[in-house]
Amino acid sequence: MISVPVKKVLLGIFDSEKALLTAAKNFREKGIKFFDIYTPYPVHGLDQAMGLAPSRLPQFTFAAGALGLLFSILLQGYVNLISWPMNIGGKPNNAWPAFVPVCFELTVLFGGVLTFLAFLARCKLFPGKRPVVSVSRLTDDRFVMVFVADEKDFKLEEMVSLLKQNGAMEIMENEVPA
Amino acid sequence: MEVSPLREQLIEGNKTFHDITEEICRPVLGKPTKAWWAIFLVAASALGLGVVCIGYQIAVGIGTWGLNRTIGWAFDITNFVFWVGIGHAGTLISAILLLFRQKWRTSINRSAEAMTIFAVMCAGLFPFIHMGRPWLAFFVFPYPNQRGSLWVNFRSPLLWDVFAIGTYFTISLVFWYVGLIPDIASVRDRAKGKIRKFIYGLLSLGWDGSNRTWLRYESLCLVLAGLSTPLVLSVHSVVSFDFATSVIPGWHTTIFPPYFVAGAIFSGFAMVLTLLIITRKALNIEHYITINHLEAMCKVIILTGSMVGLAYGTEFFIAWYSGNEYERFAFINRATGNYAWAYWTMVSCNVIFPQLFWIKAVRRNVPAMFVLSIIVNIGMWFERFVIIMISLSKDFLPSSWANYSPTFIEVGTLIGSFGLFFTCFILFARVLPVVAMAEVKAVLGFGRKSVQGGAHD
Repeated sequence: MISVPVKKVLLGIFDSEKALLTAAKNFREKGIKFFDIYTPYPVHGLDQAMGLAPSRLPQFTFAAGALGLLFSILLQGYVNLISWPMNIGGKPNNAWPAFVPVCFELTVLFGGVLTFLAFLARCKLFPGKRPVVSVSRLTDDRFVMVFVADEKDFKLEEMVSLLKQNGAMEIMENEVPA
Repeated sequence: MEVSPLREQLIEGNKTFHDITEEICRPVLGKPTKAWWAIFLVAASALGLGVVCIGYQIAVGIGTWGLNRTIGWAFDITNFVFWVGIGHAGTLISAILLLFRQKWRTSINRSAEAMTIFAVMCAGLFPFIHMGRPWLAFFVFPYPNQRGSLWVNFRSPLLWDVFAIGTYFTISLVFWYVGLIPDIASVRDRAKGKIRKFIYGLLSLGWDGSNRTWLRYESLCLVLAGLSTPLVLSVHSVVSFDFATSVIPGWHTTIFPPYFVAGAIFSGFAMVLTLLIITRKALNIEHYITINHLEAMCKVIILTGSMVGLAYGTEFFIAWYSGNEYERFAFINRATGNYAWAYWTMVSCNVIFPQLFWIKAVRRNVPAMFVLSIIVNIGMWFERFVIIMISLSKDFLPSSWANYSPTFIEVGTLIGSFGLFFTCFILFARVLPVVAMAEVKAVLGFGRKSVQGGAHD
């Protein structure tokens, strides 16, 4: 086995959304940075508490959809005007209303599939990946707040007592791949 | 968080998050019950009959069907349109109800989306067989080839179908899988045994519920819902163009796209109702898929059923009002000709019986709903049969009028498609969580005073 470089982290485990949200807000007010927070379902309001910017995936979808539209126009134009023009029912070769359905479908297809792939790439999800942190019941009913404990100015005792004050039910030290 | 007393709980039985994970994962991680095996064997036998019939007609040719020179489309295309329509409810629930923030969708969206995928698979089977030489099916794709290059005809609605159904299937599959990732991770974390751990591990893509991922995940779901919403309206519109762009009286009408879409949602919801009534009982998840969910679906059935009824009436009015004698004859022939029994089966099953859902006692009576949902499915199958078969049987020239009856092979193929559908669904209920756990957890607080989560409103 190749040894992977690791980071030390401190985990604070909560058992309710309310406690987690309040704690996250308190930590942010104190200016403490999170490594990440892990939840069994998307907790609304946590993005603001963590200070995360909104996702840019929708902009990507727009570009991907535009690419699909462009591709469908070029494909149908090339086929009907350049490669093999055919007289079908005496209609003009560039009878564009007939091309609308395929343009629409390819716009949606490109937009959807490419956004999905971009999502996987951006979140670094792939088959065979190991979860970054594994705490029992993490994907069940536990909310886990994670801090990097490697830095020099990290005061372990202070953080542990802060977590306790904010209602963490369990606190543990762990390692994650750097 | 303050809770309005007007809100009813979405999930009954005061569940905790842990209960949800336990109860939804149980059928996946346990051993199949005898009832499961019984249903599976029935479905698999029907599928077996279908495989034999399809094998025979591919080997011998589609002359084994009851088609003739006048009626070139009948059973096969009826089944195709029927199955495509079934799929629509799944996309409506997962996409349109997501955009409208209908929280009750979370209990039923997973199984409805699965139903969509299997229904579209069944639908795709029929044009595939109809080609007669299905080993050349790849000719439908536009690609540079050594035949010219000879391209597909982009002005044909049949080709639009290839793109519409292909896109619909792909996007539905992606949407379904995206929804499954967090739940597969929950199953992975509870699975025992090497093989299960490995497979669910691969499929979960290393999901761990990081909030950065959740943020992008929710954005992705909204984007997919936004893309699927026009898509679901477009698919059956494109299918209806197969008819509407032709010159056959009874097909050549502009009402077809909205009429087909309403009919598709109508039949799809009936099929969701049929499936979920069985599933909630068999898997013991009646606290998740409650009577309120079923009632909401009945309301959608009344709405769309009445739209379909309005469309039937409009068709008749326009046939008279247009002054086109062929069109007029086509509709008089529908209601009074020698296939009038099919027409009146359609009207009674689609327009008359669903009106019983106006009565609250019927909407909350599970056996009554089950029977009505099957009646609607029969009615919607007949709708397609009426449109396709009766319109073709008496065209412009009385000398070419003909009748049609299906052969054993055609009926066997239809039964086989039901076998494929139910086999797939039963396997799905066995290996994947049928309720979207992560989404249900997020709305668990809805209508409740104290819970681990929030109410999110």
